[in-house]
Amino acid sequence: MNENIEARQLLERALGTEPELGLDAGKVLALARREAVYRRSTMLGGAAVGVAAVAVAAVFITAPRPPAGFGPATPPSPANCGASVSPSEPPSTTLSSRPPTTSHRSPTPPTAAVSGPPSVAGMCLAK
Amino acid sequence: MGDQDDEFADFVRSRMAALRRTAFLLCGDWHKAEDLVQNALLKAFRAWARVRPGEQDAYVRKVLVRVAIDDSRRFWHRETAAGDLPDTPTSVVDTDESMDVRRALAALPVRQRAAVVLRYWEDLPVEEVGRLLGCAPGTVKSQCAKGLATLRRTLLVLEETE
Repeated sequence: MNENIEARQLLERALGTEPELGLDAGKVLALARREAVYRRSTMLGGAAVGVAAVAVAAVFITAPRPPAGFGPATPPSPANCGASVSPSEPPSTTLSSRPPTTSHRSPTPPTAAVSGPPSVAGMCLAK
Repeated sequence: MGDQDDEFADFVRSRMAALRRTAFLLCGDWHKAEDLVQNALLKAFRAWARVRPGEQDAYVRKVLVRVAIDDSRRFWHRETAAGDLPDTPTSVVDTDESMDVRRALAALPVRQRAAVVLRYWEDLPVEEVGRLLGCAPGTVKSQCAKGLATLRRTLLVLEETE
């Protein structure tokens, strides 16, 4: 017997008695349409979210930056004082403009506490 | 859109029964076969506008085979080889002979079963089956030969045990 015919007969036997068809063309079409609408709306929603995310990111990236002097205070540059200091010179003075907060009583009014030899910054303030 | 929907509905009406038979041979369960056909038709509807009129049948068959193979690979639907099929109420009366062939068919690996069904039931050429399954024609030939040999052997064993 031909192999193809034999195999086909076997498969026909496997089918046996066929039950009634439970599928309906109208039902399948309605399901397919509903799914298409759902997919389209999901895609549109996703695209809208994507556009919004890109717009927000663009606003943050292209937003004007604050001016240079607007940020945290920078220490006075010695150049402003008319003196030049080499950058390698270590700071040797601690100058405090605040009133002393210690409980130490002194007959003399509090003055700026200067320790060590006067530095360039100290000289600037002295001017 | 209306014409396309009518065309799709006509196709479904004319091909649904044949598609369900193919799906049944692939999965071995009439209810599951209907689910597979419905899923395949829903997938095909998405691409219906892009499918050429003469190739709709081949396209839906291809989708059906892929849906059936994917479904059998899902771990919660994974097939377990059972000596005896469980007793389930059914509206149709099947002969012992058809049950034996179903058991033998179910014992085949899913791709081998698909090759046998497409080659011998759908009567597709080897090259077309290879395209559908994503393998070489030589592989289809060997899968079909192995599948048919396994079917014969299993049927012999089943007949001897009864």
